[in-house]
Amino acid sequence: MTPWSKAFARQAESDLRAYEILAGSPLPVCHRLHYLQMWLEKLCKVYLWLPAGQAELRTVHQVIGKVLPRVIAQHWRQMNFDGRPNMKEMRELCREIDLLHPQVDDRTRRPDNVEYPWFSRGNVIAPADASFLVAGRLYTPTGRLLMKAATWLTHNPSTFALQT
Amino acid sequence: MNQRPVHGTLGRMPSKKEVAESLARAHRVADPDIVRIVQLVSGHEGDENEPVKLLEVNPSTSESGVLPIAFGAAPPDVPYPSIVVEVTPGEFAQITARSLLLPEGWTLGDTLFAA
Repeated sequence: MTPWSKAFARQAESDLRAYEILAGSPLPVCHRLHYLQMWLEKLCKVYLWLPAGQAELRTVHQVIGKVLPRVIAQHWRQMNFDGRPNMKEMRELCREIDLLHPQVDDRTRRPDNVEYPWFSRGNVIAPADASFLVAGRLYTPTGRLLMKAATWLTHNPSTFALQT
Repeated sequence: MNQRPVHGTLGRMPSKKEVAESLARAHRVADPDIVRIVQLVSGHEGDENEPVKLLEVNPSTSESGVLPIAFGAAPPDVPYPSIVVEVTPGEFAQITARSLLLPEGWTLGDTLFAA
């Protein structure tokens, strides 16, 4: 692994720990989703900063939808897991997690995000007062498999080196 | 507002067992492939900050060992946060045979659902 990959792996692990603490707290859902998005983005960057990673994606947001399903599919192939879910659903869920970032708004169609207030239908909405449908999607079969694979990869970052 | 309900419909603070049963129902609705749910208990269950922990047996999951995953509440369908360890039926057999170990201090508690 490159120094940048190692550093992103370390930060992804720390973000996961923060997510775990927030998941058990009564704080508004935006906070744990914020860390979920940051955790998964850094996990993708572990892969992107490997020598064979796509350099053009190393310094941008919205990489989760583009990268994570591919990394997870490769991880499952390595472990001979053949119960893979619908990858279209997996990509859609990852894209929804990308959209939690304030700079990713689907060309202004999706101003909702987990950090800054946004204007919608005559009202200014604070993330702390918003509900986010993606939180419920994490409980679906696809969401559970996504969370499990991402947690496993975060705890075993050396696996990434086998993917290139 | 996204705040964790503490009284639910019981008119009082639900016990940890009641919370676990409520979560088991919600998780089964979200993923009908689950064939068994067992509550996991530690020596800190008297601590209100100790999360509800569920072992969920699912033939559709990957065989990744014992991997606790934090899930937050997602009201109204899932009213409380929890820690979920999802395993295959084969892994569950290994856990009961003690050839696959739970995290230190965690033991199998009541079975909340069995298909």
